[in-house]
Amino acid sequence: MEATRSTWGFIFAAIGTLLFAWFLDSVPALFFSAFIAGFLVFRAIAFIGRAGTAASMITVERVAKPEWTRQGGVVTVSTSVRITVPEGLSARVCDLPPPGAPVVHGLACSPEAGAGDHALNLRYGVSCLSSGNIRWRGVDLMVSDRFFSLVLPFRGDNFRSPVIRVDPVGKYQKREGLGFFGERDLEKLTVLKGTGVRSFRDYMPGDDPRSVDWKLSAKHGKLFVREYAGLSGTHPLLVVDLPDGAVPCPYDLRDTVVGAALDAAREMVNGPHGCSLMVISGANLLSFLPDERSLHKVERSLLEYHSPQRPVQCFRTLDPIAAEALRTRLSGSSAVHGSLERRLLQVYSRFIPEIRPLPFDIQCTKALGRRGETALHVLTTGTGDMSHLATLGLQARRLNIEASLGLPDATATPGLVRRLRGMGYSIVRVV
Amino acid sequence: MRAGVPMLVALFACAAGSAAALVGNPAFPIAVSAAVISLGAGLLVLWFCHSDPALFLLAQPCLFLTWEISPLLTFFFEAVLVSALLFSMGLLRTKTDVAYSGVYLVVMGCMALLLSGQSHVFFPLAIFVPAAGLACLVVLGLAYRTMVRAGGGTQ
Repeated sequence: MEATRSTWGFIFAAIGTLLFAWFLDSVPALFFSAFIAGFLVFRAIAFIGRAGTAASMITVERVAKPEWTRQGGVVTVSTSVRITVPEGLSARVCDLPPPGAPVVHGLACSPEAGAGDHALNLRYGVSCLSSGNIRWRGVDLMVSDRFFSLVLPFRGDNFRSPVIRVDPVGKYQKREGLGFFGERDLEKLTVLKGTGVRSFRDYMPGDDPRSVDWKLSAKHGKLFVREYAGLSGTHPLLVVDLPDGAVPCPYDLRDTVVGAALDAAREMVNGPHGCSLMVISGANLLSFLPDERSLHKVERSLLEYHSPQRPVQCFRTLDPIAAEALRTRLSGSSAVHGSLERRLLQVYSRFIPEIRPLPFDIQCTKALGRRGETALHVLTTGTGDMSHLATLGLQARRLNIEASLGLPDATATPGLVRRLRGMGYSIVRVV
Repeated sequence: MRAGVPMLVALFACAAGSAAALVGNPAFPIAVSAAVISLGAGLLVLWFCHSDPALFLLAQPCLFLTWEISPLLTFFFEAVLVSALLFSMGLLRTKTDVAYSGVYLVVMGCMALLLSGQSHVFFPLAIFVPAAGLACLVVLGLAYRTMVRAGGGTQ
């Protein structure tokens, strides 16, 4: 509760007369001091009572369009506030936009309203700079009279609706080739047609009339149809590696990755096989959607796990096949006569039969081994442990699948790019 | 009626009444001087920057001298001034406002009665200061409760 200038005048007068009464032993001065102080107390109690009455009669309806937008998009907001201001008070309502969503046009605060019933309409626009599901912070009602002013914060759920869903923005870098994922035309007929024309042939009954080349047909006086080249590489698996929720990671890195994944997924769901999506966090499979055609499901899978925990960590996990290769190399080497090498060989020989592949290894093999998986696209923040990326790269290499990886510019250091290439990713690029 | 005029009329009435009450008293010239100064200052305030609270405070020195004649008369003048101030500021329109003002004036009247029998300020002051602190706490507590209850709790 704040005092106005008049109230401060009264307070100083009360204190002045009180000091006067004390130093000069003046009873009338004490009476005046008490009279003025009592007046302020009486006014304060009356003011609070009225403010409570005003607060009990406020209703807020807020409409935001669109309720689903991309990061940086502008949302138009229309807030209707109905309020009854008691006599002697004036009120002002301020809508509090979500954190990270500044007002870009219009005003989120109403002009001061005097006593009576009011229907205040606030129209403004906010720019959604932060991603995720964002809600309004509420409404502030500022009531004042000639002596006091009070800000009443309305933070209940009914004052914070609606929820705006803001998708992070990211751009998936297209690969070289014809299509979104670097598809190539094949000089052979396949079920999937490319964009290039492989040859022309005479029209046969049953051919699609859309493939008739009318220009060539008119030139030669008979119907010719186009034979399109086949298309390869159109059924990739998109893997999104979310950062560990327990380890601090800048939100913009996560948003870049999720934004790029959303961009890619939106393009992929329109493809012939839909979108095959695998959401992981380290060596933990969070979600797997094979051949999904529903963009809603894909988006939900991507946005559901905002800060996933990693119950399974695979630091220094040794793949059984890689361990066997190491053992073979060690046994064939001339250095095996040394005590350390001999001891290491014994350790490998004893433990290799007992090594079981991690569930994540099996999941990767199953996901990549599905019929038609022709490429692997991994999107990662490039922070924390990379063992799972090595596992993915290894499995892709074993299945002869081309693997590519995208990571944010901020983490794409030359050393990391070189390391990732060594893990089996033929293409490592910035998203 | 022009804003501020009711308060100026009340100021004039109280200043004149206070001076008239002191007729025959050695403090009469001072009372007249105080009344003239208060009225002059009140006119200036009304002319240049209309402020009802300022007019209310300007009347206090005139009433100060009246206490020697009659504490109840002083209280009466104060009551007139407060009523005029509330009326002028639009804070005396509803029944609730009148009830609040009535309670306040009754409490202040009782206090005037109690203080009129005192010749020193020590004991009244020993009660007044803690009471003022308690009143501040009550007001702040009420304000906090209103803020919390208004919005369904702060989050």
